Amino acid sequence: MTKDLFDKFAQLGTGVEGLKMLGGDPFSVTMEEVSSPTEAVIDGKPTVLFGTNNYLGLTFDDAAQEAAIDAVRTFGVGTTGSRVANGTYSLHKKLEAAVAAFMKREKAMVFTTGYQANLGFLSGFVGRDEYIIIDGDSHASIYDACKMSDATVLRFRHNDVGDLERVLRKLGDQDRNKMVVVEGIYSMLGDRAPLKEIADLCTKYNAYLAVDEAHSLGVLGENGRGLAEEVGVEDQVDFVLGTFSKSVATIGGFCASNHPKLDLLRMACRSYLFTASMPPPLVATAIATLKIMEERPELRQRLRKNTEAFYGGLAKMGFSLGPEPNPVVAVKLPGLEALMGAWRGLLDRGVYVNVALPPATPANTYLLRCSVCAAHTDEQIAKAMDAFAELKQELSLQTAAE
Amino acid sequence: MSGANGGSHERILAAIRRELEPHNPGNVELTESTDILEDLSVDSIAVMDMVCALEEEFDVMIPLNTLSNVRTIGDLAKRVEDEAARQ
Ligand SMILES: Cc1ncc(COP(=O)(O)O)c(C=O)c1O
Repeated sequence: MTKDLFDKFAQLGTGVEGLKMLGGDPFSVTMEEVSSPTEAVIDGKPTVLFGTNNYLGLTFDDAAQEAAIDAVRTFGVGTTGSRVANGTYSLHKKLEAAVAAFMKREKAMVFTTGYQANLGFLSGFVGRDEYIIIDGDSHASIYDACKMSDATVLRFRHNDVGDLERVLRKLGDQDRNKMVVVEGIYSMLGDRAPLKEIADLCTKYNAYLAVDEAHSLGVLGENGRGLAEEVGVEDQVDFVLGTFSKSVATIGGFCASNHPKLDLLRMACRSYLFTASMPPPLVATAIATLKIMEERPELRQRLRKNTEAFYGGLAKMGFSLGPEPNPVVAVKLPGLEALMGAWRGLLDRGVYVNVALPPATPANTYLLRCSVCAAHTDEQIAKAMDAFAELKQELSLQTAAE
Repeated sequence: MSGANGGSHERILAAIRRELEPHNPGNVELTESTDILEDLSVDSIAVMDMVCALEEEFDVMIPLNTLSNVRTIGDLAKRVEDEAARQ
């Protein structure tokens, strides 16, 4: 008698069925039309988007669209090959130069997605008899890289500098390479790493430091280079990882560094070698949006202003939020039912946000994961605030116990 | 059998039981053969929190990549003991 391979997912199936009964399946929302960075049609209804990662609102930028169309005409719609075979076009080189210039690093290497950048960089670079030391709340791409790597993987409690020091101290001064990996802004709770303290520990214990600035690129720092720029520790950060799927408004990933031998990684990272390169229109988009990010700091200022209005408004209503105002705003709810009721209630009022549940979040952490965009108008934010206020009354939501 | 910091088998088991208690709403009996993920309502993040606590208490390092074969409370106790003996 053969068993069904799907049997092991029985719980997942009942989980999704349960969600549907509580308000619809948040994991199969379909955007029927998308008319701007902040507006779409969902279930036939015009909806304001507050769950996109589109922090600077550049997905519909005129210059970016023109660049993409032009690249399609000039280079075609895809590369059909790896960067190390037929998949490196002059455009990819140009993008790498643009990333290096934007990040103020000697070198940059572009991957097809941010997920693959983390996967390839960590697993290809840190190997046998070396250590990867990660924050407990790391993104799935970092955990997956750790699984693929031959390195010894150690973990410290989320954002706990003392716990990181415990690990580094325990390793002592044995003659083995250590790579500490943290994120600029964490994708679920929207909190920042205590990067100054972490960088100082890495210096003290002679460890390399890599920072994934996925959610902080274009958001933090005077020039948008991320948390390391914001707290002034860029020269203590050996490797910056990032994605083009958030502020940069397309998809793709990168690693940037001043290390003179960075290019050797092109032959060592499997997720760089064994996949086709970024398609030309996306490469051209990233070049265009990075330029806009450089030329229009007012977008970052507008984002900050919107973030303060959104986070501040929800805080005033008494919602339990992530610890600090960043464009990822996590609203903590006491349980699955409250979460799904709130999510559905917002959608019915024309406001879309993300849902984040265990196991993507720690046990008993149920989040409406909202993201703020520079392109949100005051009216759109007011609409979201009204919807949250009504919900709060209707469901008499209790703020989740910490 | 005790490690550098006196992590005797019984002490380690007691610490694991203590860490697992909050994840045991059904009051399953916590024996060495209890399967941590299957028998209890523990998710992978909670497992890692527990590992951090054990690392601290017994002053050992338990690399994540040595946890893939750990299923039961007994397996985990053995991992802590082995590391304590090694370090
Ligand atoms: C922290 C972090 N790193 C990496 C990624 C992966 O980025 P990409 O969407 O380009 O694969 C994400 C986004 O999902 C992320 O949140």
